[in-house]
Amino acid sequence: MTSARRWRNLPLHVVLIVGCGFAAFPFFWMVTTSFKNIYEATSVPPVWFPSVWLWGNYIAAWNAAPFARYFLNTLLVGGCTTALDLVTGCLAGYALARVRFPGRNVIFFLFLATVMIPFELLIVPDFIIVNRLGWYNTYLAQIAPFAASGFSIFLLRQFFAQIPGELYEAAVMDGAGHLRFLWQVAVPLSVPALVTTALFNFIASWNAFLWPLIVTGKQELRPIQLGLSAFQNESGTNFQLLMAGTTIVILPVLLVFVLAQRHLIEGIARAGLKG
Amino acid sequence: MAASGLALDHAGELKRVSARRLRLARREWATGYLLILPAGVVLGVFHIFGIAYLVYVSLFKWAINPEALRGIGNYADLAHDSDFGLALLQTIFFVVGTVPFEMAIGIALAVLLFREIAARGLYRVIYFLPYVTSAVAVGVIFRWMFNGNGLANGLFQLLGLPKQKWLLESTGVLQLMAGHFGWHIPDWAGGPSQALVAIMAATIWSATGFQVVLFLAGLSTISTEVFEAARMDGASEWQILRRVTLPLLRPTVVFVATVSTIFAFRSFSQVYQMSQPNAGGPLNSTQLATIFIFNQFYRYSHVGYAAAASLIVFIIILGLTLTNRRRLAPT
Repeated sequence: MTSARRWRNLPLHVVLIVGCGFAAFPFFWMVTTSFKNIYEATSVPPVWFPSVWLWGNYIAAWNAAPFARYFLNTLLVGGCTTALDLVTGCLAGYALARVRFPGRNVIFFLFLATVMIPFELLIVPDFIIVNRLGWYNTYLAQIAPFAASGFSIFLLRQFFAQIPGELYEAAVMDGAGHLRFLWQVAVPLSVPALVTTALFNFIASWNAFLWPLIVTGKQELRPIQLGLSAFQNESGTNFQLLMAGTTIVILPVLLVFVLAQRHLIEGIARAGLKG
Repeated sequence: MAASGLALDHAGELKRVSARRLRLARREWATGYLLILPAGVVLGVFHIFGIAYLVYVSLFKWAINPEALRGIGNYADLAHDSDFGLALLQTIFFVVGTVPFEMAIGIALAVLLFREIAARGLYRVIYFLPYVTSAVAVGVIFRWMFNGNGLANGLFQLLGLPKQKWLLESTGVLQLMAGHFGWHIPDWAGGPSQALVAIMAATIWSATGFQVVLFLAGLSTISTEVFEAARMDGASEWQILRRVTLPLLRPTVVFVATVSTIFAFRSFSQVYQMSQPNAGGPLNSTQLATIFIFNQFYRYSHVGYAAAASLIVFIIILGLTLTNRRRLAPT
């Protein structure tokens, strides 16, 4: 790029940096508040930086609510959901892409149609179903409705469909059936899609709120977002502790995102392009 | 004796084949059904049966168990429920007040980012961070910023403006602004409450990054030759944007508009988190459709009623999607 081009891009960068400012500012405010004492945190006009950086706020926040338990719950539920969604997605995606059976198109259409049904509108019937099954106040209730998803099936089907037929025919000649081929050839070839699916699942599980709110009543089962919501009520005017708690809660997802942002953003872009 | 039967051949058509072929085909059928079974059970129970069950539940007066069959009684009541009408109106305010802004900013940033500039990946990451932040956290952070002693009022004070009640203010923003100049606007024309506008601000902040990514993807589908040809014809950047980029981006725009509208209709967690004193907000002015359903179901145990409301909202969303589909169709 010529240096003239670079200077021409300067106003562009200014606008983009202002945009970054808006995007990053609430994070900045959250973090700086988390290190203040209660007077600085609630002072009007606002204090921009704490005079003393109180790292102890994070310890106080961690101890003020059972965050360790919340983390454990989220990891457990999220881990199971992700694993199950990957398994059901691979099996179904592969079948819909490469196995011939009657009614395949109808079933694919039905699976795809479930993506159209917003989950927020299914909370009433699904709660009754879960209740009738006796799963209220269990981890199972938090996991079961998400053990498969039309979105993952769609994504994985696209990937599996792109595997060249010759590979399958070669495997058949070596005596392999669909299951061997799936496990030994198709899945290893689809690692990017699997990673993207796993990341989406992890983030969705970490951020889950409405469904766990409805199906859990005991504090011991609460996942992390419910814990944060409760902490807001419990922390009263200790906004510096609340901000510390919020930072603790969102940090893992932000880290995962920054490390894996390529996969996530490309996954979304690909889903968007396919319409 | 060679038995024969019907099976699917390579083209997926039914043909008469030999017994051996039939056996292999049937085995493939079994494999297929077996593979889709786990996903089928989960999706079948919680989504497909779920929506059918929703319709069933909506026909009853239901608290813990079905109590009385009401047929369309719940729907008739919803039609006369001013709270439900208010919830729908406020949801429309919410969608209209967030989606266009998200899209405008999203397109602008995507177009700027699309050039070959330094640190493009870094910008993209920063813009997307708000989107991966949980809605609850977004609600907590913005509720704090819009607190009576929070940043928003701090900034207002620095600008010499009076402190606002923000999330506790049920008065419509149009009324407030008119009142500031000494004019009077009737209640029904007051627009969304200040509380709802604060929630909209939080939502726009968190959702715009998603739009940037989608529009960047849409821009990447336009072949660079088109841009080069336009530049060689002497078109300015602004002309290229208006005459080339935006028209070619139309399918993406329609897609993003559809997806964003659906997501806006589904908003719950940050709205719930920011609603004070409880889910519904000051004078129910932040009670969106999803919050209304939640309150009817969770707080008042009007399960059948909530089911009916859910179905109505689902039909609205479906209707919006289908009309957009038609606009998506190639002209």
